[in-house]
Amino acid sequence: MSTAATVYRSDILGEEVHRYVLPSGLRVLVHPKPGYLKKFAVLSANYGSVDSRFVDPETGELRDMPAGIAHFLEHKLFELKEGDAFDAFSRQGASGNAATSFRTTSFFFSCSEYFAKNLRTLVSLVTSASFTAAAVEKERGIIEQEIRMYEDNPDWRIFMNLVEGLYRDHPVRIDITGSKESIARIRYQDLLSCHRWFYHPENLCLVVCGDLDSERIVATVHRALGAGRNEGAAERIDIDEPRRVLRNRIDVELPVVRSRLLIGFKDPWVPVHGRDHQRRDLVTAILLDLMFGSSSHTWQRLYEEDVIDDSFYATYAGEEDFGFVTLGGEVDEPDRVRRRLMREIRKFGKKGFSAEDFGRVVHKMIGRFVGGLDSTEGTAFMLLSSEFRGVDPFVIPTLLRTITRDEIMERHARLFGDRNHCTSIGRKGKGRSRLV
Amino acid sequence: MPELSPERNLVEFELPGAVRLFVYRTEKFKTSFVNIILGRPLDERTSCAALLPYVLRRGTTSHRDMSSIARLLESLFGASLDVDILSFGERQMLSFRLDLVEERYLFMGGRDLLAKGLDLVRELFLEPVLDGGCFPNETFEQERENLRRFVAGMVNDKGRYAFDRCVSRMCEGEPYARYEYGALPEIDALTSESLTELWHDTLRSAPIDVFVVGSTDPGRVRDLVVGAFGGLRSGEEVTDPPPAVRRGPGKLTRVVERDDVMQARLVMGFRTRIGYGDPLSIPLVVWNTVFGGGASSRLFRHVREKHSLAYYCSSSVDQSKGVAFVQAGVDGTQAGRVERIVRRQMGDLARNGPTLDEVRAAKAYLKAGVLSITDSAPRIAGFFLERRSTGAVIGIGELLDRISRVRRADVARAAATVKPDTYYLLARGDE
Repeated sequence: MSTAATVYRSDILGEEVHRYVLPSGLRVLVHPKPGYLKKFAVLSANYGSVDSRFVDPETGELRDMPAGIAHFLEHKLFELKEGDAFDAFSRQGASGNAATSFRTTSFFFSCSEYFAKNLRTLVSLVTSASFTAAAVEKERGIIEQEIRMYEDNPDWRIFMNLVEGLYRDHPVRIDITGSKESIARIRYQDLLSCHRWFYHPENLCLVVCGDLDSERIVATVHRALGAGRNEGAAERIDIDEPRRVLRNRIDVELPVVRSRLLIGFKDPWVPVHGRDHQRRDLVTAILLDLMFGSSSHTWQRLYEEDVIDDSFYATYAGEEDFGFVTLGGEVDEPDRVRRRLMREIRKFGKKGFSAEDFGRVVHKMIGRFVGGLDSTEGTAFMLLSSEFRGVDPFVIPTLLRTITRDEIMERHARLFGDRNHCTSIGRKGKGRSRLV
Repeated sequence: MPELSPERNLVEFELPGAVRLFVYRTEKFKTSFVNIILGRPLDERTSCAALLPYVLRRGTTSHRDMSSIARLLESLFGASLDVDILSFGERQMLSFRLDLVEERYLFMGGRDLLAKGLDLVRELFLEPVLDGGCFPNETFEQERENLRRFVAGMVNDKGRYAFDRCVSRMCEGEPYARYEYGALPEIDALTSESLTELWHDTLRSAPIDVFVVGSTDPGRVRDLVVGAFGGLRSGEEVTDPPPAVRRGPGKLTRVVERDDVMQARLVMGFRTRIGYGDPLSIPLVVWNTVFGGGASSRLFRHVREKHSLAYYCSSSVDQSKGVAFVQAGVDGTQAGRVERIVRRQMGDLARNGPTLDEVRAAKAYLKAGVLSITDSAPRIAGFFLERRSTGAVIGIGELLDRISRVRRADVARAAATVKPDTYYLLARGDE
């Protein structure tokens, strides 16, 4: 079999990535890491918690699935005909796991030996839904305990409150694991249908990192997968999400020692694709670093005045059809800190930043990109994200150097200019936990 | 297979003033990694020592505040300097970690990053901003408040909190019970003077281990480290303290604490009395893998997969102290059932040993973990630090060999040493 590879290359970094598209439509990215003893593979479906509403390819009708179904399916795919995939990996000297995000469901393993065997196990678990109806019932108890665990996490709770406040219709507002009530409504047949509609080869991508031969990997995967089938894929629907946030404020009491504050800014720059997507995210990262990074004068002032501490962060979550900035942390007086942060945001819009600050932050981001390549897992997930965006991963350092100061200020105006934000507070209160 | 004896890449130097330097030379990575560790006992000054790195990172005479330090690091192409408090057995470790991009991978030049990074750490240690010979009161107060908040906030991480509570009850009166970040009443009693005194004492007498992983020639690294820290010591001998006392278990203690939790947390504490040098050391690690070490372990299969009682249920061993733990997040009303399943599996492993398949899988899993050490600079440094701290100086090749020689009967013998000590449950009042 011959499937010509596209090669992404960076001469200065001495790195290359081979990209293949198999006859089944599966995309395979191989990142050779000579001298590394560990091998890592991740097979990811372009299907996550946001894909709960779609057009049923069999009936043509609009379907709404219970919240948490993508995550439930992730759990159940570990069941193989011949036993449990966890056991299979373990017998073959690998450790496997999986994770569901808003956008994707990823299955992965790492090992030093028996790579081909483990790879076949991975392909088999993702592409064949072998679980039984009885096993679905048993899984509810396990997932319910997982949900309870997250419910005890105050930071996750105020984060989800924030996202619910930012979005009216977009399913990003639905908790990835769902709730006890929603997972009770997930039926065996729903899981099988979602697997059929979303786990077809064209909707999957495999990334492999390690001291490995690309051609042999491609041959192994092709043999394991065969022609595959892509007909009957579900159709995503466009979501008519309003530009404005749904709510300006969500304020709850939590059993915490210290209050939590998060401010979210809903990004109007959606939808976005390919290189624009990559650029949007990099420009935003530079902007947030200039505004609130630990080298900024603002950060230093706020830290010295005890407005913020090490728990403070400012970050951006950006996908094709949604994006938002989150900033905040643990605070004593949420309302006072909120007003103060808003003032700093306005001030930045007027005063801007120096050329020196800008150059330094860009240098830092290039350095961090280079350093990130030392981690096989980190690199694999970076490659997945660039593949789903359709960009060359090594374009990032080049893109960083072409970003202009005007772009940064325009981005500031667009993100923060029209006061399109929501505040989520978790106030220290009822059922307060004891101190150590 | 490449690099199966990574010890060959390791060069060890005893520097003036009892600074120990370990240089692991490799061109495998795009970053170089430096970890400087000041070791001291877990004792009544632990809270004070936990504060020290956070006050030191506030500024030096030439970089007077944190953002000025951050700007310097950024100009070194996104170098990072992280301080942390770790513990190992009954030792507290103040860790300063530098990550620097290797110069040959930089797009637009960049020179002497390692020298500049080490010089910054030297400044942090030796030239902090002082006011009348002491740390400025304002800085001190603020960092003390931050530490106080951090320690008080631990209660909001329920799994971690339950674990710490179990350890502190189980090892009451032993240094091991101390949390490496300190305790509230002690933190409240600190003064800027006591911290300044501890700073002087630490620089004078704490053992300093420096690990460097990267492509720089070891002789050059030695010169840089001597240049940075050579003047630190008068050359007095620094000795490591004796290993932790390994007390046997007494009667089983049960502790139940009430908290407003959605999920109850069960932590079962055991004594093994097996330390790093013990012949059963490696069999105990294999036992832990079979029993509760991963997704194909007995605990995972029985508590989670068979009975759907938990999302996580796992075991761990700490050979620096001779203890083991089982941790699970469960429905409070089912905690007794979970405990019975854990005890049944434990008894079965001690009586009958693991199956041949279980031992095979556990060995393969451990082997993969050991091999991958050489793929990560922090793990390389961690491996040699652990070996250093325990006196059990064996290399990766020998470790692999010892794992491969473990038999079912050895695992059963190791399992039989694991004795219940303290069972702890954190649950809602109505459960």
